[in-house]
Amino acid sequence: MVQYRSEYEGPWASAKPVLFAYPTADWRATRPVFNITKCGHCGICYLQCPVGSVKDMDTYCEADLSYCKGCGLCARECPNDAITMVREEAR
Amino acid sequence: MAIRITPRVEQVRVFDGNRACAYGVLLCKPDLVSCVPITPMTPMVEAVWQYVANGQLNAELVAADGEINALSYCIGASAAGGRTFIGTASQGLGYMYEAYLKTAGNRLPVVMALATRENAAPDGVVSSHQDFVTVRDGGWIQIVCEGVQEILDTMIMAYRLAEDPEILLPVNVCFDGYYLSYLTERVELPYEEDVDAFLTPVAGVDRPKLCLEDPLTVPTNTREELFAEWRYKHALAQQKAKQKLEDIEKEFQEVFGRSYGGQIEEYRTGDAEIVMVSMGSQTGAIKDVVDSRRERGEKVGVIKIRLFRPFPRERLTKALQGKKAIGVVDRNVCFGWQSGVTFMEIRSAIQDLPERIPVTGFIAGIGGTDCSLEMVERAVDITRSAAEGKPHQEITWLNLE
Repeated sequence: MVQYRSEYEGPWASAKPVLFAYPTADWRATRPVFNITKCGHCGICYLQCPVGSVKDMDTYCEADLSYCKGCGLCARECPNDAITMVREEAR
Repeated sequence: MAIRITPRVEQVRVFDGNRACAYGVLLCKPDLVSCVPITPMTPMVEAVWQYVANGQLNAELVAADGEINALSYCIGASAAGGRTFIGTASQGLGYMYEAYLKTAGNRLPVVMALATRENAAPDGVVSSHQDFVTVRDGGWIQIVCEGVQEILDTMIMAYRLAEDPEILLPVNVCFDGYYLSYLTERVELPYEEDVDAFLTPVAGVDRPKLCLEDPLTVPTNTREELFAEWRYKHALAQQKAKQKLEDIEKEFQEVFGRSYGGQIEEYRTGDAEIVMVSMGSQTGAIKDVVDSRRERGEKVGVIKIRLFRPFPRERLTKALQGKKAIGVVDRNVCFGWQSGVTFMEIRSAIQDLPERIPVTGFIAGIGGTDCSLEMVERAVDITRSAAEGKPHQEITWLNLE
């Protein structure tokens, strides 16, 4: 008697545990620090982030550090210079 | 008393294979068509695009920059729940090989028309079955057509089969390039609403799809035990597809009045001692030879393999039981066995039978050459000597020997 573990016929699975449960960025070397008073909520960092880790917080944006790899693209592109990259301290 | 539905025909037209296939696409209303034109299916793409330009077909067209991208568009659209169509041949199929495997593995019901062509090298834009037999283990369902009307009808059945919730597998509708893609025949066109009704059972099927409300991932980067499970389910769906095609074809016959025998077509095999087995367009030549031999009182029949993948093993064993010899005419080469692919598979299939039936293989029509009546006559003669237990050659290349 064959026992099934997946409810799907093919390699499909809910994306929720895969995308939203596992932190994928603990190897990051630098992290972005968002100055929310400078942030103009233009959304450029939200669009530019290669891993989609920037969250829209209604009046400003902020990185979700569970997924941010610290590439610095948001800091480079921010028109208001609201983001600075700081070194992660040694763990 | 059962109500007998009289098949109705919208109009009768003279179409070549490409046009018949395009008309089948029009009737099945895909959401996305993604094709890179390649000989011998270029007019099919032109016809489909013309339908869209005329406003007859409301589909998104993608002019992809290569076959692998073309099929990848279909994978994306199909994973999002759309109905997709793609056509290609030979080198195009080779170029999309990586995406080809993924389509089947992800269980996406893409329908692909293949105007079959010889694989290069040697280079030659010529007919053969070599391209689709080369990818036979890719996990797709492969249906091989013999005539132009059959191409149109198989397109409609292919969508019904692919999108069935128990199957969910991509389907190749294969027809010989040149011999069928450019062959002009009488074609009966069914009514659009009849095709709509025929496809209704799969129109509302809830299959897994990519959407924002309930995000899914495909293909899941799989832990080992789940990999085996999904492979097993894939194999199971292939097995189910055999009976499913028969059921769909029965229903098709009730609505449209035509049938092609389901997995295999048995032509005058009932009392036959010698059975020739074939696939695709050259079956017509073999049927002609069978007819003339029957007039002379020889008990010869022919079996056409219509469903090549999954291989119709059960029906073949039943049809071949008690025969004295089997001759297999292949339009392809199975390297490693130095025979045709069907020859090798028929030999495996008849292992289930108690008697030992000699199988002789013939390779004909390679490189777009004609499988002529004279060649088939020789093939039947050799198979007859095998039936009589006389020494004979196992594999004969009819073009060369």
